[in-house]
Amino acid sequence: MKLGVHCGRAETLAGAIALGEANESERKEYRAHVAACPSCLTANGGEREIERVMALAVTARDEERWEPATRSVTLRRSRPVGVARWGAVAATAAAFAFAIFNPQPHPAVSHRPANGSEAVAALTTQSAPRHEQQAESLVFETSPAHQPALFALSTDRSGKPTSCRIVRTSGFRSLDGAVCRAAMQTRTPNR
Amino acid sequence: MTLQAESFSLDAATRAQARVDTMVREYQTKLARYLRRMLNDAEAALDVTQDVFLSAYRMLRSDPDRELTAGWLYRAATNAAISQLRRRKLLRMLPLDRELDTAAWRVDERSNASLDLQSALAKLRPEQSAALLLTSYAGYSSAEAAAMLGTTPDAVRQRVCRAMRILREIMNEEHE
Repeated sequence: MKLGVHCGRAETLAGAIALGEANESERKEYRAHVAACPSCLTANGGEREIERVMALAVTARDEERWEPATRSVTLRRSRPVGVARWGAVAATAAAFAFAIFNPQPHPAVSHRPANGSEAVAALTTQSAPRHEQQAESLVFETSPAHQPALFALSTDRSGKPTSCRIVRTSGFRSLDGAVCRAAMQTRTPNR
Repeated sequence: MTLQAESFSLDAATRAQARVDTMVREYQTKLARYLRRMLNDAEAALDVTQDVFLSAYRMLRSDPDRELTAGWLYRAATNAAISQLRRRKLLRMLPLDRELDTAAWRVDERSNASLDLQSALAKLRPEQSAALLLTSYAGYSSAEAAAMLGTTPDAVRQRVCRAMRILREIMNEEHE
């Protein structure tokens, strides 16, 4: 709706009436304006209409029932998640997405000893790595028919990964990297 | 830091904490409700409320004799809310955003007045929402609201008038 040149003043007056701040001369000025300006009368309404509409906000305030949970002012807020953590999450998501949407049949996951004498754990899709005695290294592989990938994950005594080595690549460098990064984020319980 | 300076600092922190605690008890609910209306998001309102009191605490800690009024709290809260609403508006322009819609209008399901007000607020510019809420909801005069918003009382009255127009349209739509 297009308003006339003097209608800006009418808006100010209507606002004053709405807030209960208009004096009698301002009310008269508004009445005189809307009597001559149908567009302002249609847009803003008369004095009673203005007061009726504004009463809604007051009613809404008075009927407010929401009780906010009290928070301590000096409560330490959760730290923002670091770039490294987001990177690890993204890499893991990429690895899972690749595994899910890969048109090839899902490769079987197998395990075998890294060295004959070393303790070995297996990584399956269903369970966490399993330690036997005090594992120092973990070998896991994915084995598509044509090109199995093999990784060697070293852990310390507490089960925390210390390094991940790509023994045989899957043929996808980014996938190898993502799998290694995801593996480095895991922490296997020491049994 | 010398022993004397350290004890002074500790004293300032204690005094600041005590003053902010008083303000929290008196204004936390009012401020959070006001912000919830502005932001249409309870969690965001609580976050901003907490930030405002934290700012007050830091301010009083560095200057224990400074006056802390409810107007200061509302001004800080309004500025933070307007910034957040502008950021949301930018986000809405991104095609990926599908979450920030008006699905959460229902602030208080028990009241039609509440729903109408929230529907109108969702259609207003942040400055108009602030003007309407500071005056009709928080109870400040147009002059006080103008001081908080850094504008003139007449500008506040105009914003209230335009906000009221939208509110009226919504009420008329519902009754048709």
